[in-house]
Amino acid sequence: MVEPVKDTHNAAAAAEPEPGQRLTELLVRAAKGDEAAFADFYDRTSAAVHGLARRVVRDPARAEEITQEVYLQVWRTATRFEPSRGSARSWLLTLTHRRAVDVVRHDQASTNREARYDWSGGPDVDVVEDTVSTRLEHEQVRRCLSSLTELQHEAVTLAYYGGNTYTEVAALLAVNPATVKTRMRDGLIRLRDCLGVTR
Amino acid sequence: MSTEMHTLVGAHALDALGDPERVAFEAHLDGCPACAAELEGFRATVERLGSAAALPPAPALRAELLGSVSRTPQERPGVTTLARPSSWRQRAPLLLAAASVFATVGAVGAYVAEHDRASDLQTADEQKAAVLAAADATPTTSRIDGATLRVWSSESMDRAVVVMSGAPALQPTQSYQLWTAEPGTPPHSVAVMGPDDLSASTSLLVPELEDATTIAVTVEPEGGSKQPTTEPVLSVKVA
Repeated sequence: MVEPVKDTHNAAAAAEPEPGQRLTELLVRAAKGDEAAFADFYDRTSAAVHGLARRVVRDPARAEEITQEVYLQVWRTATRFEPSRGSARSWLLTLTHRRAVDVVRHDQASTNREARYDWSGGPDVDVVEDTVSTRLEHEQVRRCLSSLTELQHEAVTLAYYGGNTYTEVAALLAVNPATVKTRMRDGLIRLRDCLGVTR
Repeated sequence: MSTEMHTLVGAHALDALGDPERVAFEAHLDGCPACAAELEGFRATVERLGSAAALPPAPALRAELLGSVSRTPQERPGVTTLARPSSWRQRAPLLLAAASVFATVGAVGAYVAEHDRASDLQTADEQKAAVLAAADATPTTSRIDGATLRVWSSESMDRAVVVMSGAPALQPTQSYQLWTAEPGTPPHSVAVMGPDDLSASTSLLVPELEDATTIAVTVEPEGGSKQPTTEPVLSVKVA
């Protein structure tokens, strides 16, 4: 285990352990009631959580609510995080996405939400945080998404950014649901390889 | 590994499964290391999709959240499974002789969702869904020889949802019986399941958890018993 580092998130990156490891360490400390570690964890991840929630639910007020709910859930249940089963960021964004999707599907039942979500290959540039790392991430994701077939691309984005189930996606695209399932998996395999995801 | 189930890995990573299929898939995951490995890679992949949408929240949110955090108690670790019951090994050949390894179909979700609790519940499935949605629903899993007992217990609702999958097939003259138990008092029967009541993955609601510390399954004569007559084949400790 790495020696605990006392600096804050805006200290020099050179002094930091690998970012994923750092997040894990912060989460482990937060699980033991360390509020400062939790605050640091929030500072490092809240743009991703909030941005993803906003992308899926689109309503700014709901996105902030979700952000708050997710972090409270993380605080309460941090002991459930298992580092052996994936990164802290992956766990966090899984919780966020699940929560955002719940909200969207709940809203869908009561309102006339526009089902088709038009997303042309990347997050809206005007709402993306203007930092180098985010821009690079954004560009790489956009490039990899554009390497998918049209159906893979639609299947992945309508589900992930639109919060639709695969049967909804199938209905939206007028394609057999079994085909959509397969394209989702094929699309993620291609994305995974393109993005160089190793774990 | 079921090919049919395996095709759901992508949809699951994208949260694109409806609840019944999600539960079925998650039950399947328990026995499918290849699916679990692929899912891990997919989770890391969709994490990149999520991160690409980054947008900082309003600064006020931070102070508000950290204020709530200092007033919010944390869950303590304490999920345990019982050791393998001692007599299981002796009885295993008998039970497993007739065992068919089931595919998995279920009716509950493994992730703790935190949406609003339905107040007016109609069907058993909705009641189960409400337990799973409870903020304090805690999953616990016990696994023995390919059989899995998963329990989501909610203290606030005083209820639990139990999913048994991969359990050995029963003789026509046998039933599975589900019990809640606490130290010092006789086990309380929750349900009796004959061979016809079992599906690949059987889900049940425990309507009153009360002070139960253990949920267990025994094999009983057809129709069940007043008190367990055998050692549990599966059991899970609940908080």
